[in-house]
Amino acid sequence: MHIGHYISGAAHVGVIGWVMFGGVFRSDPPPFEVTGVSVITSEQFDALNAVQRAPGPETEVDVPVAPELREDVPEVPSQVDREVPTDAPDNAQVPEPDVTPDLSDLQAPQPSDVTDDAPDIEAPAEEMAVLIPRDEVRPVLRPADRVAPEPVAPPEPDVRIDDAVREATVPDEQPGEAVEEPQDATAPEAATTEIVTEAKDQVALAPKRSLRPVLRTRSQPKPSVSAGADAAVAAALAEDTTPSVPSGPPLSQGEKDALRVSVQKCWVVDVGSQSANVTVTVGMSMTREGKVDGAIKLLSSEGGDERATKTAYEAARRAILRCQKGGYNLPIEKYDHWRDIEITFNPEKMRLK
Amino acid sequence: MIRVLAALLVGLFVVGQAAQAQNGPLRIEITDGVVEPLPYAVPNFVPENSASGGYAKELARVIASDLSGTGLFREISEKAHISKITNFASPVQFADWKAVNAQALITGAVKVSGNQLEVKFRVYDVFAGQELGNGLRFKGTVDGWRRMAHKVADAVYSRITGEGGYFDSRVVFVSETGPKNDRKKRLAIMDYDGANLQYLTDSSAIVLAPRFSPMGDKVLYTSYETGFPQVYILDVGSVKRRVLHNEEGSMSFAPRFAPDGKSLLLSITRGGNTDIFKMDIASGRQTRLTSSPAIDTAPSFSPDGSQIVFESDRSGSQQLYVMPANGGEPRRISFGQGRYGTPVWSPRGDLVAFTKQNKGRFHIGVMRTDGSEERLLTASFLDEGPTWAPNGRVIMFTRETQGANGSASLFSVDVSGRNLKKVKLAGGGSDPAWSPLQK
Repeated sequence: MHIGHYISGAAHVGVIGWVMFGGVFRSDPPPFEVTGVSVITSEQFDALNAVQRAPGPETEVDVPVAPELREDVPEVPSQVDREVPTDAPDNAQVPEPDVTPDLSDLQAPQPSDVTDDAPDIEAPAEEMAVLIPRDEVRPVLRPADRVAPEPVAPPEPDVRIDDAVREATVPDEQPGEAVEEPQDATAPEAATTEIVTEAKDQVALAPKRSLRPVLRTRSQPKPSVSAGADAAVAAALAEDTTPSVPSGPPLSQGEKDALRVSVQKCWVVDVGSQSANVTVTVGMSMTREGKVDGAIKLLSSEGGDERATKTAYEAARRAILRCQKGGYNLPIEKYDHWRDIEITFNPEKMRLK
Repeated sequence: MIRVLAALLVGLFVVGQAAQAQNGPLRIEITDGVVEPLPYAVPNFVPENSASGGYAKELARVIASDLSGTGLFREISEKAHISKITNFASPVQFADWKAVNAQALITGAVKVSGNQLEVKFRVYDVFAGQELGNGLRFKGTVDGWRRMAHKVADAVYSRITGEGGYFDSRVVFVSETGPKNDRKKRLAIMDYDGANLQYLTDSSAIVLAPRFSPMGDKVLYTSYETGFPQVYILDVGSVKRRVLHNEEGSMSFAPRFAPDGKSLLLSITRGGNTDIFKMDIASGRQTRLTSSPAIDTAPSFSPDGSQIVFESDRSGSQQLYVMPANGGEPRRISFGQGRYGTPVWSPRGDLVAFTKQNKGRFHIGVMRTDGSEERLLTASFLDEGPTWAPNGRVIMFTRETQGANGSASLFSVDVSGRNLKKVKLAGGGSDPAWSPLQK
C-alpha cells in the first residue's frame, strides 16, 4: 500500500526539483549586435573635432561705393516726330458707270432640229467567235456509267499476298445431284404485244357534252330506258361532290368563343320561370354568309315538362335568329367546320343569379 | 407491357373521339344569357266598326300595362313602329318589326255590337316569322272590357313565357285610412293592378288577414267585432258574412281555405295556448292538428292538400314547420338566423314564401319546401304577409314605413327578387290576399 505513496512522493519531488532548478522559468536572453571599437588618443580626438568644426559667420561685407552725381549734365536735344506721308484714296472721285453692253447683235439661239427619226446607227459588227488555240491538255472523257453492249472481261484485281497461309481447297470427289421436285403444268403468263399504262386505260366519267334541252310537249312523253338513264346521270352529276369530311384546320377556341358570345348576348333568360330549369340543344345548318339555313331544330332537352321545354326552345331560337343579323362572323375558309352547328343552352348558372 | 398497351389504347380512343368530334357539327354550349325585358309591340287594335273606336286604343294600353308591369317585357313605343296594322287579317311585315327589334308582336281587333264587346288577337314571334299559337277571341259586355284586356294579356304572357298569367285576378286586402293612432280598417277588393276598388266591410271593427277561397267567391277574415278576434266568412258577391268560430273564452284567427274550399285551417287560442285546427265549413266541426304548449299559427296548405306549413315557437324561437294535412309530427324547415313567420305555400308547390325578422330588419323570402335554397327578396323597416299570384310567379306583401306618420302600402316583387314595385292604391293597404284566376 505504501509503494504507491512512495512512488507518488518521489514523482512530486522530482517534478518540483525540475521546476526549481531546471530553468523552467528562465527565459533566453534576447539577441544583440556586436560592434568593433578602436581606442584613440585625446590628440587624435581633438584633431578630428577641429576638422569637423563649422566656419563662423562673416560679419563684414564689401559694399560697392556709389558714384557721385555730376552737376554738368549734358542736355539732350529732342525733336518732334515728323509726319509720315501716306497715300490716302481719293474718295471724291466717282467711278464711271459700267457701260451697258450692246445686245442688239445678240441673236436668240436657234432651236436645234429634233426629229423623231432614229439616227442611223451602224450595226455593230457581229461578234465572231474565234477559236483560240489552247495549249492545255485535251480533257479526257468521263467514263460513262452504262453497261457496254458487249461483255468485257473484268480487270484482274490487284494481287495481294495475304499474311495468313491458307490451304488450297480440294473439290469434292462426288458432287451431289440436285433433284428437282415435279411441278404441275401451269398456264403461261398473260402477255400482250403492247404495254398500256393506267393513264391510257382510265375512262373519262364526265359527260362529253351537255344534254340537249327538251322541248315542252303537251303529251306526256313515254318513259324510256335511255331517258331514265340520262336522268339518273344528270341527277348524279347534279349531286354535290363536296366531301362530307371537313378539311383544313378546325375553328380555334377564339372563333368558337366569338360565336358563343354573339349568341348569348341575345339569349334572354327568364330566371324565375320553369323554363329556366330546362337545358335545350338545338341544331341548324348555316349558309356561307353565316346565317341560319332553314329551321332550327330541337335536338334534345333536359329538366322540364313539355311546356317549359317549348318555351326554352323558343327563347333559344329567338336568340340565334335575333343576333344573326347579316350573318355570324365565322371564317369562310373553315365553312366545312361550321356548316352544321349544335348549340346547347344551359341556364343552370343563370338560375343562381 | 400491359400498361403500355393500355395507355396506347386509351390514347387511340381519345384521338378517335377527337377526330369524330372534328368531323361532326360544330358544338358550343352557352351558359350565360341576359336577364332583360323582352321587347314587344302592341299596336292599337283595329276597330271593326265605329262604336269600337274608343276601345281599340284602351285595350292595347291595358295589355301593354299588364305585360310591361311584370318586368319581363318592354313595350316598343308606337312612334317607333314602321308598319301600321290596319287590317287584322293582313299578313304581318316581319321585316318592319325586326327593324325595330320587336321580338313579339300582338295584333288585335275589336268590335262592339250593342252591349257586347268582341276582342280577337294574334301573337307573333317576329324573328321566327311565325305565329305563337292560334288566334283567340273573347266576348263579353262592354263593362268588362278591362277584364277582356287582362285575359288577352294573360294569353300573350302564357304563350311567350310558357306559364299561366295572373292579370285577370283580384286582390282582397285591408284598406287603411287615417292617422296611425286612429286608423280605419276595412276589407276591400280590387283588380290586381288596383283598378275597380270595392269595399266589403265598414270600418266599425278592426279586420285582419283576409283570404280568398279557391274559387274566389268567398273570403275568410278575422274581425274584432265582438272585442275578441273571431274568424268570419264573407260572400264576395252578396257581401253577406257570418262568423265561423264564436266560442266564449277563446280566440280564433289566421284562417286559410283548404284546396277543396270545403274546410279551412285556423288557429284557436284556449286557455292561453294556441294550436292549429281544421274546421269543416258546413258543419263547423273542428279537428285539432297540433297540441303543443307553444304558439302554433299561420297554417297554409300545400296545393295538393297533403301537407301544411305553419309557424311555431316550440323550439324557443319562431320557426317554420311542415306537417301532414291530418296532423302528425311536424318537421322544422327553417334554420337560419332570425325569426320566421306567415308561411304561404306556392301555387306551384315548389316554394314557401315567408316573413323573416333578423337584426332589426324585415324580409320577404322564399325557400324550398324542405327549407333549402332560402332567398330573401326584400328588406325594409317592416315587410310582412306575403301572398302568391295565381301562377306562383309574383309575391304581394305589406310594407309599412317608419315613424308616427308611417303608413302601410302594398308592394309586389317577382319571385326572382326583381321588379319590386308599389301597387297603385288610393290610400293605404295591408294584408293582401291574391285570388285565383277568374273564370
